[in-house]
Amino acid sequence: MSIEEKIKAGVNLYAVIKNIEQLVILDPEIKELVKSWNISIEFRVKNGPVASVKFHDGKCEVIKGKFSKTNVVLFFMSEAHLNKMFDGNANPIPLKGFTKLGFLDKEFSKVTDKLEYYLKPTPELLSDPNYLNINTIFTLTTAMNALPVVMKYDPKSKLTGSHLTKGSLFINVENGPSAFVNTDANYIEVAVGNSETATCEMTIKNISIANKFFSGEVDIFSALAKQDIKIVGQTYLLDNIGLILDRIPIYVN
Amino acid sequence: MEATKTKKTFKKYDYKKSNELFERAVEVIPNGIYGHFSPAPLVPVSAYPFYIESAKGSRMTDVDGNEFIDYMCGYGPMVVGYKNEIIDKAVLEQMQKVDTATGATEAMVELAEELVNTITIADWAFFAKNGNDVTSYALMAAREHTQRKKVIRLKGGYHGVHPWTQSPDHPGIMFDDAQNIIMGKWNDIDDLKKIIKENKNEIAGLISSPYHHTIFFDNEMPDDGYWQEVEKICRKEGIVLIIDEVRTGFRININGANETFGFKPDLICYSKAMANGYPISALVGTNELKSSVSKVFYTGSFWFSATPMVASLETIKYLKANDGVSKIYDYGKKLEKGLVQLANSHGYDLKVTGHSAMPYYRITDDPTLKLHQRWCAECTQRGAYFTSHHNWFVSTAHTEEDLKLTLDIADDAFNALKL
Repeated sequence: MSIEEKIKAGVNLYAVIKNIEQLVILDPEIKELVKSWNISIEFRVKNGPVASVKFHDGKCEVIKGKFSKTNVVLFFMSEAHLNKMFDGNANPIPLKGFTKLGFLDKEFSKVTDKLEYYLKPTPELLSDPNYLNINTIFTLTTAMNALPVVMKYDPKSKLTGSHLTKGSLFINVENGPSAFVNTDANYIEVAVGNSETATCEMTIKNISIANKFFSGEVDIFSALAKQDIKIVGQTYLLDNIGLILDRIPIYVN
Repeated sequence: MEATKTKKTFKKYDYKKSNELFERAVEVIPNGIYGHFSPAPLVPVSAYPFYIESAKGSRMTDVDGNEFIDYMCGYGPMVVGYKNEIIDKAVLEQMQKVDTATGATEAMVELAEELVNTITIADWAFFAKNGNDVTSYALMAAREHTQRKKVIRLKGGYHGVHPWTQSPDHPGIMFDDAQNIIMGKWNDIDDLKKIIKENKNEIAGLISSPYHHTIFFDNEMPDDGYWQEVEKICRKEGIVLIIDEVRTGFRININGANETFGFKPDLICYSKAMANGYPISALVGTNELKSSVSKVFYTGSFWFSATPMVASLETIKYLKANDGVSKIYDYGKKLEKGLVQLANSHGYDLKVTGHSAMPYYRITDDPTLKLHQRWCAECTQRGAYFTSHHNWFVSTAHTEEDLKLTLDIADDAFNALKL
């Protein structure tokens, strides 16, 4: 199994589908769709990563690993098999929940289709403020949750991980989403926190700049000088995290 | 620069024209301003000027007309004052004769002789343009001399931007670029012995600054006996000992920083302060290495330019005639004493590490550096240019008047932290 497939699978399972948690809150159509769902779906790769999605009381929870009780188990022979499914070129092997196959095909696919819609922007779509907001939130969520996966397997990011020191980074988009990351040597976790507990803070001027930044379309050095992005504190932390963030697009379609 | 004598409060600068220029720059220059002059590490960026209009002595004036006492000295090159009349006069005279032509000039021979007479270990001198030109040449020379491929450099050390000097996780750098570079640890003899044991008869050279002047972290002096032990090990193992004095050169000891720390390297790299801002670098070394160095083909279109050589000659003579290194140290010590006392009077702990000629300051009360960044920014916006991530630089041009004004500015800046 290539490192690229391994990282892609990790990003798909631990970062991309994590966005469903927000999707059921932010998109009225999906919110309405899932409000009565009470089901959990497990994505299991042979000798590889496992992630689970649970819908309950109109909410969604996505975790690494499995819930104690799972209604549906979708099995993949390899990371490549999983990645092909995410690209729309393969189907999973259902191991459990055969009676739910119709649900997966007709109902759950509406969720994944909408997720794909928000994750594949066009200039026209981004001109809609609501779409821009949701796309930015999802891009941020994907990037933050992809960090540990990419650091673990990408050769360059592994080295960067070894240079990390104990710290905490707060990323905040003014009037927009925020994220908090804890670091240590060879360790990154998306965490809960705010600017008061952060050792390094990054503030992005607005949602539009944030969107371009998380999409890799902004030159960070120029953005800092223009004060579109402001940093304070142990900024060397951001230097290293930035190196890993730069590697993520290699593994995200 | 505006100071009221009674209240000692200062008007804060703004940088309208600097910002306008930057907006133009980003359209036509990658990063707008790249490299170590990039505004990115300056926190907050809004407190710092980007573009300089003029400079004289210890002061520089930005394009918005704001004047600063410059404690970065161009990140090291300025050592005897901007627009030093003696140096500039010699440069102008040389410029009127010849700068770059089809051949070398007498200035090159004179400068080499001056370096050999000045730097204790130097039997010869080779000239280039930037520090990295000569750190890379030193590696090539060490490899030729030993017929070995591996080189030890120390974590946190800075020797330029060529691929071998950077970590392979940085953009544009490949793992292959670092294949024969072994990362060691500063002040750690056991680590050095372990590396040598694991790479027996494979190590060509060890490159290090004379003391550990990293950015963002407290600078570290060598432990007692550290350099003597390193030198002993290098001699025993046939490893070429290379000292990178690009930052420290001509600031902490005119004869070589190794004299301060009591050891003899084989090669020393110089640049920055050696010509008071005119572009030149030098590799000096012992006769034992001369033959090997001579075999390595290494050159550049502008490496024979005469004006920086004249500037360097005059800079070194000026430093000697005015006991420049002692003067710089004394000012650095007075600055240190004044700022630390001032910080204490405001209830802060200002820690100073490194050599007084190029001190690294840090307010320890906030380990996240945010408080220190705020204070440096408040000082800069009042006319004392302080960076928060990098060691500062002192020159012979810094005066008692500068010191008093700096302390007044720092006092006002400490007050501003409480607002």
